[in-house]
This record gives sequence, structure tokens and C-alpha cells, in this order.
Amino acid sequence: MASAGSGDEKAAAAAMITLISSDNEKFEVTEATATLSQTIRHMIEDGCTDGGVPLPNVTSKILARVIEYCKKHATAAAGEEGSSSSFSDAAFLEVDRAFLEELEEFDDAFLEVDRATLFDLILAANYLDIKGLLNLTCQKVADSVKGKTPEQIREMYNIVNDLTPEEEAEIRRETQWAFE
Amino acid sequence: MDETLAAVLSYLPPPAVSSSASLSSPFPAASPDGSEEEDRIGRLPDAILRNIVSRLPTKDAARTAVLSSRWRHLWTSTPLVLDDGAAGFAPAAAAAALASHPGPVRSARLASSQDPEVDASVFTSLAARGVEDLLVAVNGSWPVEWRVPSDVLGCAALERLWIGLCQFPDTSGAAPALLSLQELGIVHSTVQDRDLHALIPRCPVLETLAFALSQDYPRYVHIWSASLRCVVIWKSMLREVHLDDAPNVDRLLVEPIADAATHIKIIKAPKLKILGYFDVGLHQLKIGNTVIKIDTKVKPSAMVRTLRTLALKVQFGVEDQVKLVPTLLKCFPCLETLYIMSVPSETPVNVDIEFWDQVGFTECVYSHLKKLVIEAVRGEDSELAFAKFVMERAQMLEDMRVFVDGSCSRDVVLSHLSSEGCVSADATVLVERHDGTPWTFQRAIDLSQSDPFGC
Repeated sequence: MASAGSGDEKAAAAAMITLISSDNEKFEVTEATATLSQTIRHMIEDGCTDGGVPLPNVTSKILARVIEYCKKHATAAAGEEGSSSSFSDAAFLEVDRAFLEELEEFDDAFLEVDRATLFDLILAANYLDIKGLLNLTCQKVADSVKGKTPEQIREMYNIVNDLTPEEEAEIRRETQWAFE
Repeated sequence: MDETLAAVLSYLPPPAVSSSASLSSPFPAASPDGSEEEDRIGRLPDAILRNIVSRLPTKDAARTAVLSSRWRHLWTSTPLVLDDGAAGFAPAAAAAALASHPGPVRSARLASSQDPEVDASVFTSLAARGVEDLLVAVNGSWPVEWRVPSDVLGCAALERLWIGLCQFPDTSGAAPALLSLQELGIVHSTVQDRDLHALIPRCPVLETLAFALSQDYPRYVHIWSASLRCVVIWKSMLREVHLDDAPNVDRLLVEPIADAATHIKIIKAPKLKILGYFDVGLHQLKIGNTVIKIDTKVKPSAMVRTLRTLALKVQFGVEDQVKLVPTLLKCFPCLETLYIMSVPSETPVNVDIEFWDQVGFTECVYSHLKKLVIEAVRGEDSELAFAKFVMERAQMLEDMRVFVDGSCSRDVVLSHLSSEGCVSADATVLVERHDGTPWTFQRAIDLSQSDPFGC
């Protein structure tokens, strides 16, 4: 939350991590932001982050977006801890609710990306093991598929139907209830 | 949607998947560089595609099998979720889905059907497949008399069971074997007393038992359970709630409903910490063998020394209710947090406010009470007299909050209650407009809430 004391800032400043994208761009982030990634958390725990963390599977364009997500959600996590340790009251609940709404808006806006970026984000979230981001992006794909016919989905995602007509007929027979 | 059904659905766990689709989330735009020519989705790892499939309503999920050979086996290798994202999945479709999927079954949210045989076969199959996470059975249509097939009692791996708008299965045929059940929710449904009391002791890991909108049955909820931690009775017409032998019950939470004069009896609950809302005008409290009345001399055998948080509903315009409050407080000598909901009286009388001066030593108020919250205050003399009673005696008071009702001036209340009136030097007094309580059914059943009354 906004009221983080200067002591916290100092502690955070002391623990900066350098992330290096596949195209060799360097990103300085706080440990709180970086450890939303379980992969990086384990590297920090193992003490192998000196000299930066190379992420050969993630381009600078995608890494910048991932960091944007982690920054926002790291603040949210800090806010939750803050409010549970202090006295919970109506004012705090109000702040929490407002903050959660803001976070949802952020997530919605964050997902306004083209398909290629969406898939890159999914792969990055998977590789970096950032559960929230993986769930968010997979949900986006699921939402786009819901209520669509197989033909529509194939067209949407350029899926080439390599099933023989016999195979397709067989699957449709087996799952006929799903087409009713 | 039928109003009753809508109410019932608001108490049941939400669907595992959402059916609201495309309008709110438009399809991601094509990439400007034309790289979407290729089948990028098909190159995602299996685990990710299964993650996506698991977020779809059952029919949508199954239909992905015909997309291409890449997708053919994904649905069948993802744990089955029977959920249409709405009220409940139709049993006929559920039976077909179970026939074309090898399992395991993660969760099922089922509606009733007109065909008892189909219903029974689905529940038999779910029990055999070991449905794990959640089973919701809701009667979305007539007849209301729909009884959940008793096969559900054999779901040995099931962790959460909720039923809505139906009748609980008959336990006389087979002994229940819900060996993994942690949460049982019964919403607007009928459970015969004998079925309930046959069931609870046979659920060895049951932690949460919740009733909402119960009408006729059960009439009695008698808890004999080594594992239960949380009992919730929400707007239910129960005659009795007894903690007979409940060594791990930590909270008994009640949302009163008019005319339900529930008798609450605490016999053996050595870890009970949270109780409320106890409606002083409606409920009756019995601790051990003592019925707590205005003139009861509270003996140690009628005290619950473990209780830390108490919530009361009181009509401050009704003398009998006001005078019962100090007696109730004497039953809970180690109370630290007290919530008082001030309920308007139909025919307010002038309650003798001098009465508070004659209340004798009340251990919890003098020695333990740290937090007092009075809600929906209208500035009546009787309310303020109670607040002052606490302020002038509570040595440990840290935090007092008074939420004033819309009909009352905040300034008037403020002029009567200020931290200067507190005997505790550390106390802060906050007087604010009443803006609804965070107390909800969802909070009540959530064991992670250290204070379900909240604000």
C-alpha cells in the first residue's frame, strides 16, 4: 500500500535483482517483484543471482510486460500483508476493495494484447512459474473459445485440422452430447 | 430465474468455470506482423493446453477434441469438471460425459432431472470414479421434493459437498462413508434429523457444517464430532443447536431469522472462541445445565472461559433484552471483542438507564475487553448508557467503534462518546456513519477469517 515506510524502501533497494532478456537487455527489479516468479525465487534462494539472471527464453519486449505485471501484483501482495497485520477495520476493507477493483482493471487492460503477445506471455509465465499470470492468460484464451464451434476456433487460432473425416466423425460420435 | 433458486445459488459455491463468454472478453487481435499465420496455440505445451481446457464449461471442453490431432486427447487427459458455468449440469449430459471420459473427476455441479434412474447412475458413477474436490447438487426445477441419490454418501474422496433446494439422501440403506469430507453445506434443503445425526459422526475429517435458509428439517442440530471446527446456521428455522461433544469447534456462527427462537446449548466445546450473532430477544442460551436468564447467578459451570469474540443483536428499547446483556457477558469472562448490533424496537419504552450503575463486577469488561463495536446506533439513551458502561469500566479497551444509523446525527453521538470518557488511557473511540457490515455467509464459512463479524 502507499503507506510503505522508508525503512521498507531501503530494504527493497538493497535487494535489487538484474534480469537479462534473450536479446541482452538488462532490467533492474526489486526482489519483491522478481520473486513473484517461483523460478527466480529458487535462484535467489540458491544464491545464483549475482551478475544478473539470464532468461534466454524471454525477449526484452515480453520481459518488460511481465515485469509490469509483477510490479503491480507485488504491491498488491504487500498491501494484503499490511492490512492483515494491522487492525482490520471498515476503512481498510474499503481500501482493500478499491485496490482489488483497481487490480482487476489493471489485469483487463494488461490483456489487451495481440495473439502473438498473448502466447508469448503464456510461455514466459510458464517458464518463470508465475501462477497468477499463467492463470490470467490461460483464462483469456479459454474465454475466447467458449461458446464457439470447432470451425470458429480453428479459424480464430489457425488450427489446421489434420484429422481424417472418419476420425473426426468418430470423435463427434463419442462426444455427441457435447454438440447438442 | 426463479427467485428462490437465485437465492439458493447465491449461497452455493460459485461455478468452477464461467459461462459468460465473448462479449466481455473480445478475441485477442491479430498480430500486426502477420506471425499469426502459423498454429501457435498448437505449439503450447500439453500442460498449458490442459490448463486452458480445464477452464471451459464441460461441453466446450469436450468439443476441443475435434479441433485437430493435437487436441484429440487433451480433454480426456484433463481431470473432468462437470459444470455448465450456470445453475447445474444436466444429469443426462453428465452421464454421457462420464461415459466418454476416463476420469479422474475433479468436481461436479449437477442439476436434478425428471429421471431418477439417470440421476442415480450419475451419482453411482461419481462415487465410483472418486470425485475429489467439490460436488454441488441443486434442484433447478420442480419437483422440490427431489431427493439426492444416496450413492452420494459413498463418495469417499470427496472434500466438499453442497446441496441446494432438495432433500438430503436417506441414510437408512447404507452407512455414509464420506471419509474425506471437510465441508458440508445444506441450502434451503430438508434433512431429516436422524439422517443428519447418522451422518456427522461418520465424517471423520469434517471441519465446516453450514445450514442456510433451512425451513422445517432439521429441527435439531446436535454436534457430536471430533473434527468439526465451524458450525454456521444462517437464516434457518432451527429449534435447537447443541454443542454436545465438540472438542474442536472454534466458532458457532448464527444469522438469526425472525421467529426462529433457536435454543443454543453449549455442553462440551472446550475450544469455542467465537459466537454470534446471538439474538438476545429471540434465542435462548444454555450453558451446561444452566439456562441464562436475567436473574441467573452465573456460576463457573455456566461460563465459557475460552470465548474471545461475541456478537449480540439487542433491542435497546426493550428492557428485558437490555437487562440480559450483563448476565450474558458474565458467562464469557475472557471476552476480548464484543459486537453489538442495535436493532430498532417496535414499541420502544423508556428503559431504566440507571440500571447499568447497579450491574456488578463483570470480569470480561473490567479485565479483558479490548474491542467494542456497536452497530446501527440511533442515538437512543439506552444505547449510549451501555456504551458508557463499557467505557467507564474497561481497563484494557483499545478500540471502540460506533457506527451510527442513517437516521441519526453523527455529531450527537460524538458529543456523548469521546475517548476522554474511557477509563483506559489507550482507547480510541471512532464514531462513523453506518455503511453495512462485512458479515456475510461467505465470511462465516471461511475458516481463515479470524473475525467473521469483521469491521
